[in-house]
Amino acid sequence: MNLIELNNVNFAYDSKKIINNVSLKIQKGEFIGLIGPNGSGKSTLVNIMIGNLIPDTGEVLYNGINLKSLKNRSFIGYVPQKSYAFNASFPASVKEVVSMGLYSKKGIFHKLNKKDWQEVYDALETVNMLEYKNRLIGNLSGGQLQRVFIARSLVSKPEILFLDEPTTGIDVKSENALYAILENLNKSKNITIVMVTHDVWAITSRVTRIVCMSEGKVNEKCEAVDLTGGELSEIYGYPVKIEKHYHDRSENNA
Amino acid sequence: MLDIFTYDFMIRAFIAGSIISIIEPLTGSFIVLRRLSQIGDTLSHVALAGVAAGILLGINPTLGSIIVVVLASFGIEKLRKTYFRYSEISIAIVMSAGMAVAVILLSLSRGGAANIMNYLFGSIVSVSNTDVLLILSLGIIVVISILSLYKELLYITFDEEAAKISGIPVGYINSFFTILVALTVALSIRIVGALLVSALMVIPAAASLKIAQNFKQTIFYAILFSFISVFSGIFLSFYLNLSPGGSIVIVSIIIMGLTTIKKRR
Repeated sequence: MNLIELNNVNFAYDSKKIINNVSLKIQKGEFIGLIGPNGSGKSTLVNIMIGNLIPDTGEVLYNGINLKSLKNRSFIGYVPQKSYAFNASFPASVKEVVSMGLYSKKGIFHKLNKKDWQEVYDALETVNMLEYKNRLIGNLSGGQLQRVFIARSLVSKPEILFLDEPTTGIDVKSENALYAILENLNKSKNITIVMVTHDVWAITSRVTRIVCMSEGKVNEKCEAVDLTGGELSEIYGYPVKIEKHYHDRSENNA
Repeated sequence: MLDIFTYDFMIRAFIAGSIISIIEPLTGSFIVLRRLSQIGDTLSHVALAGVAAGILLGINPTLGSIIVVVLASFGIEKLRKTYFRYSEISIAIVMSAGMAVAVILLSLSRGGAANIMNYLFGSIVSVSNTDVLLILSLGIIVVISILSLYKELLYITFDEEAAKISGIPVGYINSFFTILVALTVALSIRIVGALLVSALMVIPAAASLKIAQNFKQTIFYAILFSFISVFSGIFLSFYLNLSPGGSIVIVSIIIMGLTTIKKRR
């Protein structure tokens, strides 16, 4: 059975069509790179898949069940695009931020117990950030911050993780560390990953499938992972040159 | 020196002051971090309309301000949804409306103007037993509510969108929090005064931000600074015959200055 199935999904903002009759199936264990030019509907599609936006028509199914009828959504993890631009002076420690991922599961009036805090530390360990647990989040680098946000999504033990342009604003070394963590989550913890990105070269060797979007539609031409510059130019609508830059897959720390 | 405690009115002022020094920074820390510092000012102007209505109708002015401010908080929420792209408009409209109603009601009540001065600048001599009872009972409700919703409020304050996606009922909690802020303002104007009530919400929290290493510490230091400010302010007000609101705020500003110096070092 498909983990996610989108059937004829349509979505418009103020009568402007953003998602145009999209159907998509994602199997458990896939690592999907969602690419496409700005305004092609990638982030909107992710927001529909996580239930933040409700499609005008069409349906989103998780294991065959409509997302609308799923009250407990802790199996969905989400790392938003804006996490690199959040309020850097917010007085929260790393462990406080990660613990937020458990709040909904715990429910109102329930405090976190020892076991919950252990889960927070385990999630931080997974992203190699445990030693920073008491640090103010404003004192972290962009790459470290992104890993904290991933830990926040992981702490509720999601089956699927959505990331919206997670490498925006971070350097290549941190980017490598981030991809190594995602690959590890996908392979050893069998977490399905859907990642919106513009970094086509970096992901082609890591993902199991690329989904391309243009003008609100899924472009069937680029399901393969070994895209050429010519194929990408057709999708993006302007000349695209693939530049190979340094990506060491064994790197783990930013 | 401690003859201050031989006066019944001072004991009432200290009891009311203790509660206010906790609820103001408790709500204020979330308000400052959500960049809603103006809301305290708005609600305090509306509270004056409630005080004026209380004086005119012959009911306890603190009770009058509680009712009017809670109703106005619903108005702010409604207007914020109507003008969701310009949410600060709702704050400006409700502030003007509160002031306009207060002035009209005052002009209708002969002799009310003198009484309202106590609510504008705060007073320690005129805190009644009913005021203490209202401040104590509703203040405890505010504290329990904030502590119960602590983690949800923290998540919404840090990242409202992520909190919503994770399944936290953001809309309900925001509306309930606005009511708690309204109650805090209405209860505080008796001692601090309407003109300075938002200062005690904002300044201790701002000072705490300079030195806290996590969110729990932010709340703790804000309450500590507020407690020191309120008690020192009441002492100064008693012995030097100064306005309690002004004294409290000046002490809190001195504390904020000291935390800024500490941060620089």
